[in-house]
Amino acid sequence: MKNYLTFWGLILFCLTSYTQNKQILYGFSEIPQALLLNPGGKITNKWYVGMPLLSHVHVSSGTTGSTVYDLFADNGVAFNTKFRKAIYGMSNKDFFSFNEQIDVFSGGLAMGPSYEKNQYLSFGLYQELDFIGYFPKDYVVLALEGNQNNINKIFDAGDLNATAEVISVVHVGYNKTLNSKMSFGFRGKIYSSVMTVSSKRNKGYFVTTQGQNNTYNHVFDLNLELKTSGISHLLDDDNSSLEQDLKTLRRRLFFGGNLGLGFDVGMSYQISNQWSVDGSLLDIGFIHHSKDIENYKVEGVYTFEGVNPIFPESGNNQSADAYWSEIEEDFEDLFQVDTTASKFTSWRPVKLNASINYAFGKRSEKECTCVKEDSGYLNAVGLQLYVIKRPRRPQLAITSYYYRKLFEWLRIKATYTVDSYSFSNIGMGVSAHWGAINFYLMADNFLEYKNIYDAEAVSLQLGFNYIFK
Amino acid sequence: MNSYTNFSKFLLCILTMTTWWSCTKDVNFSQLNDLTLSPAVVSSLVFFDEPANTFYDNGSEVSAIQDFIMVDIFNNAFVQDDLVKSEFHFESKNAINRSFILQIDFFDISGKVLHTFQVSQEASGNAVETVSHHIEVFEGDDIEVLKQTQVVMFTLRVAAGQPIDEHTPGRIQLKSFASFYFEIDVSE
Repeated sequence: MKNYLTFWGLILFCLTSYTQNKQILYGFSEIPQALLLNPGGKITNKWYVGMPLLSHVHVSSGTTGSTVYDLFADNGVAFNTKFRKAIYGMSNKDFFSFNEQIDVFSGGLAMGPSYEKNQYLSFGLYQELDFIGYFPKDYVVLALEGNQNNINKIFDAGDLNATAEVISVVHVGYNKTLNSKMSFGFRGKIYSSVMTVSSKRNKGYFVTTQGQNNTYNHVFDLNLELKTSGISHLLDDDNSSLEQDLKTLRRRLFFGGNLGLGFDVGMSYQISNQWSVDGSLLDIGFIHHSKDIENYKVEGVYTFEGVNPIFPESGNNQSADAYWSEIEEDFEDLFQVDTTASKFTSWRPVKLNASINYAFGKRSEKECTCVKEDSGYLNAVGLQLYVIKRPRRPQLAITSYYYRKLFEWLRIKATYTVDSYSFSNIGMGVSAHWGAINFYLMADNFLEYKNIYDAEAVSLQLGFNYIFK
Repeated sequence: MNSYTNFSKFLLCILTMTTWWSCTKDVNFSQLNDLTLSPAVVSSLVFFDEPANTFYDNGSEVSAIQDFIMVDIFNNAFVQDDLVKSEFHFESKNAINRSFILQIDFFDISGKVLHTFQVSQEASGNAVETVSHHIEVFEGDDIEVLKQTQVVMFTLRVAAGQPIDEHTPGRIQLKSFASFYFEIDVSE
């Protein structure tokens, strides 16, 4: 039973899990961390330092399938009814995803001649956890119903598709403003994988059909693989000392793990005074896993039609028990888990951001008796596109936004996003500036905060910076 | 209003907003204990398809064929804990002019017979195939029989009648499958 509980525990964990879109932060150029989403974005400071561990904290959660509330609402409906409704309401394209990111440290510095500092160097170290798991529908249906009422139904072994990765990333970015219209940038990254678990390329099926020699014929065609790195050492630790494990994790966070390389590129272009476009490609990179690897593979094809215990010899004097033992061995071979330590490479999930923006509403001279700090527009609206490459297919989100410089010390951005999770995602972000201290907070899916358990996706980002303009 | 006051008010406002917005409706996670899975699994069992002269060997008729298999598939935790009912379905066809009885005996590890049943198949008249069905149900206390079974013995007996020789026409066929009904209570 523990296995079942673990399985459903995992599913529930997934239901409160996370995504990666940072649509509110994207293009919010007063916040230095926006540069992580577009290294070619606009820069509005001379230098900044992020508050260690607190300059960027991001958590977000998403499910395209059933929510916690769908299953656990205390509404008098039998749990087994709700459970089955939830299962049958989802497909193998539904997924649960989880993303968490914390900046350990970050900073940035404008460079160039004092009269025109048109270059900007930014750097930092962040830790990230990323998980995506697709709903293994056929496995769950098989566990729920069995095969009796599913004769001829092909249970797809490929429905098992999940990957989880904990990494740390050190990065250095370069941004250059070419002229008043155009800027571009790139960011080099070194990844250190703390741990990785991935099972993405599973193939095969199980089917029960009407048989030739017997009532039913069962076909198992399995090609399943789970790759891990950074796990076996922690699990097999002889002294099972937590302190030792924490030391290992700390070492991996600071580049003692499996290493990889990657880069981001981005640009922004001012079409006119009011119109601008920008875009970026992030995490084009890989991690090469060569240390602490343990991979598991199940591979084989077997057809079972039953046993012929009375006439098994078929001319070779085999006893029924020897014949049966052979069948048992064939089954054992089929489900035999082979463990290997083959090196492997994992690709980072590439992300694309793009936006078109229109700024309007200049500050009125009458209302402001003070010295104008800049001649920018107070409002902006725009459309943003976000795409992330995922194991089965890319996920896409389109955001429309309204940005307003409410006061010199307070800017807000409201977003409406359509994505795989929902069509009613309203987000809000604020960035407050008290002298050189900056605090920002952004969250989306506000409508779902009415009942957080029924939320299909929520995300939260916050951070503190010290910014010198 | 100085910027410090503004900033403080702003933080207060954010806090209030978060508290006001974020709420929950009643949920009850202990409902998970109510979850029951009840898969019904079918699996092919025994089969044969033999011509009449299989029962004729070295000039004499073979009146009974017997063999056994040792099984430990009933011995795993899944079957022991969660199997609540099982049905063994047999379908036999006979085109031989002799009746047959298939006897299946279940033994525990000490060799004690736990359960026995027979599948009878009438003789075929005038080479017309006879078909018979038998369902053996294991439920309630009987399910324990399956759970303790270590050896299954199969005995096929040819009933008395017209002698069989190498030219006797017809054949006898058997097909079978088992349905296993599980009740998996996740809280256990």
